[in-house]
Amino acid sequence: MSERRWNPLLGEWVITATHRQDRTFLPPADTCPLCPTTPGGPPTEIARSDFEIAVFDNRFPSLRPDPEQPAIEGSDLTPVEPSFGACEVIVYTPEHAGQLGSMTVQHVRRLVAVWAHRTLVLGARDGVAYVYAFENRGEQIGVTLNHPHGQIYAYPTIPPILERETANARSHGDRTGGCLWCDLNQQELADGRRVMARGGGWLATVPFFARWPYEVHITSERHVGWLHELERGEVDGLARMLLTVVRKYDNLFDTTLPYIMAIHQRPTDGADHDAFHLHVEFYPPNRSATKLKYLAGSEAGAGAFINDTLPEETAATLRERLPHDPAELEAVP
Amino acid sequence: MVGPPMTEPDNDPQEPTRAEDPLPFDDFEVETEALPDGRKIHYYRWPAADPDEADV
Repeated sequence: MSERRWNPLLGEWVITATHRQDRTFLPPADTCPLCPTTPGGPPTEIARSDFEIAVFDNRFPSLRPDPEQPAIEGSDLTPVEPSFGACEVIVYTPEHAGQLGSMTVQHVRRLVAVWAHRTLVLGARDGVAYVYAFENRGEQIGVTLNHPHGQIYAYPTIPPILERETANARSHGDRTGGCLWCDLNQQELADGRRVMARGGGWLATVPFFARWPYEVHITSERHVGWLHELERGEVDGLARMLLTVVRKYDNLFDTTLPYIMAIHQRPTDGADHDAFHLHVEFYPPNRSATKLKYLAGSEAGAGAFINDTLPEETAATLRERLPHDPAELEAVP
Repeated sequence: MVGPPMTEPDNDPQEPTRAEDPLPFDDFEVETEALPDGRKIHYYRWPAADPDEADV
């Protein structure tokens, strides 16, 4: 059962998806549903192995192109809608072992191409207002499958955080005539203390207003809104910067650091969103090697984040970790 | 709707399909098949040799 219920208190939709309780949970590697099916082995989601990257409709979607009618009646105060949209799984590689940080620059470039293509395909569907590609990494984040993969959701409305970013970008543009992210880039470059890495047309910072101790934002230096607008050199630059961030994370505490990676592109609802600027946000939950930051009373109940660290200090720590320069990563074969 | 038209092959799921308007920065093939329960899977492949990529 899946439906969207309106929360009039916060002015946002909540998706119910009770069937997801039954989804596969941390299976052993030899029964991984994201590995290609092997001869004589159990069938998996992926029948073939002759691919670099695969994308398929999630078996347990919270949004779907042909949603069932809601099982409960809504009201004027609390409307209910079918959970229209799409949920796709993007399998980064046929190989079960490894993770984003262990991939080559060339492979991550291809991953960027697939994110861009799926955004175009899903964003072109009638009724899709926003396409959101993301990755959850680590069991601390709630990952249920260890095979390297991410997800792509197509929403019928702009999700709340993207809606706020879109509104704030428009407001900033109306007030100053500038782009909010371009102006933030200039501020961070002028200050320098929170810059983690720069190169290939991208700037990685621990933002001035970071909510998570090792939060990192990767922002294009050119004002673009979608991945498909990137030029070839910028795609190479993004692949290198993604690898730089993830490898720095893994060298932070000498462990595979869990994180959420969120790719923020312009909405696809057909409205004017020229003020919005493409960027990628990372939120690792760790505040130390062994301690996690939880969304507790202030964060969950009041929406007010409390960061126990200084972005200037965590940026300095991340700057010290390898790799130092995205341009020094391996050459593309 | 955004960007150039991009089609998702759904007429013959066995037919290898190249994106109608390849992305400006990449060129790949997408082959779409139906899973047993009707869901779709898209296999992305790249030409074995891509000399352009070595220039970046």
